[in-house]
Amino acid sequence: MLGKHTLKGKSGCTVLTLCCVLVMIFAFGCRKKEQPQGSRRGSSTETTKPVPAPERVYQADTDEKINLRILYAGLPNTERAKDFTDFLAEHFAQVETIDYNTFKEGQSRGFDVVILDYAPRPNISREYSRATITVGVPGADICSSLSLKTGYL
Amino acid sequence: MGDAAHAELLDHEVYQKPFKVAPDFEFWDTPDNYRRSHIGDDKLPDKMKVWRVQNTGKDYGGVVARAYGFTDSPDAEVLALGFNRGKEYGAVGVGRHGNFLQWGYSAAPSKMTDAGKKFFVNCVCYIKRFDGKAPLVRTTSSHRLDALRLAALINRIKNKDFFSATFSSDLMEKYAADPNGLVQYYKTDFEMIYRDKVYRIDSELKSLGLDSNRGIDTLERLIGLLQDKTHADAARGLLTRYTNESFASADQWQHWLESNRDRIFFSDVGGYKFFVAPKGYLLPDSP
Repeated sequence: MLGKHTLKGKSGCTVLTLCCVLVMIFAFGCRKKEQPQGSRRGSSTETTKPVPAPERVYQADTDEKINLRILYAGLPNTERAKDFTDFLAEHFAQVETIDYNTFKEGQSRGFDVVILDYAPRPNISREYSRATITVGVPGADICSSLSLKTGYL
Repeated sequence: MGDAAHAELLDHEVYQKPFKVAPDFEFWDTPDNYRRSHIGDDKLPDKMKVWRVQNTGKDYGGVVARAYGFTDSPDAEVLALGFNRGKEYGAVGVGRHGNFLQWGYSAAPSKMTDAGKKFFVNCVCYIKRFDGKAPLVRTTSSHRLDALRLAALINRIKNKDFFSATFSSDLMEKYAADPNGLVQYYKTDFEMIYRDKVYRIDSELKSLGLDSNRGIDTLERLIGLLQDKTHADAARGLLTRYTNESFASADQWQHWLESNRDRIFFSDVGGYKFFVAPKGYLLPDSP
């Protein structure tokens, strides 16, 4: 029993030693990976090199898109419309599209911002007050028709 | 307007969040049109600091709005000066008037620079703050600086009908061959310029000893003169000219002034009038 036990103990020790070695290798390995980060942090303050401020407040994670509902009024099935909506969808929580030819100001209800992209003068009243981006020369034309300072002339 | 914006306004919050817009700068030759339309006595530099909003490679395709009077009402602000080859330096490439933000550049996002993309996203976020804030004034007139700009052209545009809504026939005749003289005429009394069919100098206001038609102190003086029998009629006429109000008594005028003092502004573009911004309008909620 004892012999067996001893034998068992020896082999247990061997296994235990191997485990310890593996754990240490693993632990040191992890630490080696961590060290440069730590030393980077240290060196950045030591060398007084300024750490650039994060450029994005919102992370790329889809859950953290900018929480705005965007209505994009453009010309459907065009490269430009796809270009815009793909871009907007990267950044904003909700993006819906509409043909600018059929845009009515009432359709802006429920959206935070409307983008009228290269839209020829839609029928917008002077009471319209939804936050709106007009784009390009047609955008300035819309502004002119509403007697805004952002108009063409 | 082509691809670039001037670098002057990058400290505005629309360049700070949610993205920090950190463009690469270039120095471009000052366009000739800037020199031709420059009104000030200072000299424009030979090169100007700009950054690319987009990369179409064209110097046309976009649009700028006139600088003159753009910011003479608190509902409008310039967000980017557009580098352009048609209008004046200072013309607006990206600007806001009330709930509208005009993005004067032409390209879709894939042709925008990294800085341009960030700026666009920031503009979308920024204009949200002005949801429900329709413009306070509409463009019903042109700014007094336009009088100077057009005066400089008096001998270059042969079709005199062009100036029929700009200068009186007397002035056109007197200064037909003397643009500098006409410019100086308006410069001398720049603070007294107003429009009544054409650009005029307000001699009535001058005769009352006032030095400007657009300061809040002008309103105070005119309302004060309503108590002065000698000048009350003239003051009443000028208050009618420069406001949209028609109070019967001096006390009512005084009450109006005191109640709205912090929210009164004067706009040439809005028709050479004093206006009152509604309470709360000038303090948009923080995002």
